[in-house]
Amino acid sequence: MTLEEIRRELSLNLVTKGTNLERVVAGAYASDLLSWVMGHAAENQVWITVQSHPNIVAVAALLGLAGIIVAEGVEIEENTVKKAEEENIPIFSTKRPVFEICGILYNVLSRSMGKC
Amino acid sequence: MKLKKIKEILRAEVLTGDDGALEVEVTNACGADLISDILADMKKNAVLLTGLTHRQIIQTASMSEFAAIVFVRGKCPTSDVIELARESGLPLLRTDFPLYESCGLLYEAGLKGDIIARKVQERQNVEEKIPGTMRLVYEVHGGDFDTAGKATEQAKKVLKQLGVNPSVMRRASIVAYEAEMNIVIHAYNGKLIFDITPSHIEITAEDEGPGIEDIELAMQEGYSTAPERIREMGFGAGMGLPNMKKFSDEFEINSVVGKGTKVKMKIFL
Repeated sequence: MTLEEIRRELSLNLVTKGTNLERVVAGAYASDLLSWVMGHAAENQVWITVQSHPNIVAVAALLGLAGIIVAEGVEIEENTVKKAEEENIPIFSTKRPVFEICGILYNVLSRSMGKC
Repeated sequence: MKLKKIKEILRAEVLTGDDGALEVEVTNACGADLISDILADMKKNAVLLTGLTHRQIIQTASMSEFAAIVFVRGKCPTSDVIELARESGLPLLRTDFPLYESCGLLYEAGLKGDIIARKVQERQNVEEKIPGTMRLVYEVHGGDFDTAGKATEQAKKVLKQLGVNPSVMRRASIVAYEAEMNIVIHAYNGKLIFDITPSHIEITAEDEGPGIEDIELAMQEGYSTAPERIREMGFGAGMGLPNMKKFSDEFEINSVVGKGTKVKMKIFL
């Protein structure tokens, strides 16, 4: 399943310009503790968080994450968007809470991976 | 060498950049047509010689902090690319000389680049009896969250360029990032050093800071002394040192209270 398909399924707002939405997502990871994400998230996963400062882009870039979903209507800092565009990491925003995004995404991804 | 002088030597035309910009002191140069090579270039005060004229080259050059770009072989970017460079404050020059001759002319005129620095480094490596090593050194500033992570990002680009195995690269990125963030969060100043050898990557993080009172306690998952405002950013989860240990093959930590901390991590290739 690509990021673009996920964006449509969850009605996410894309906040970055010119980033790659055709990337195939290999699952998702949710946490707001950066070191926890560093130690546990895997390549090509999409990351769900309420953090929005530029360091989230560094974490995503270093781990090779597919994209970031900033949930709960948290406003995303301009520097974060700029950095994400430079690193080609799409960032999406949504008003929905983390719990809902995880729930919906879990079902959508399981279906697409043939686990449901 | 001033940019003005480079313009003279290459008989170049200035596409953007005022007189002030031409006074910039350039001490280095990089000639390349591959974005990845340009990104991996870590020289300071360098001019980029290239035949690439698309928008990305401006972004790449600004990101890698080049002092200016010289387009070779008479290549000329479109006006929107020139505009982008003007906005980024990046001077652009254009010469009819091909890349080889442009490099040669500048070299001959005394712009000798990194060779001397590299020779010193090679000699140091020989003295330490580890041939074939490469050392990357980055300064890390305490409290500077805006550029935090940059050293690790740059080192990762070099590792990628060197063709290091993705799993090793990932582990090196994780431990280096954690070490870098620890300096940013806790210390005043520090250095992140990558020693890359044919058998392993050794990452050393050394800082001047408050030091760690109880290392055993600090090594426990979930233990953190980070202040509240840093925890709000999602740092200070007490996972930094445990992550560094978990993802490295050899881990060594020394700390002196009131002086600083030194962490050495080795990952075998």
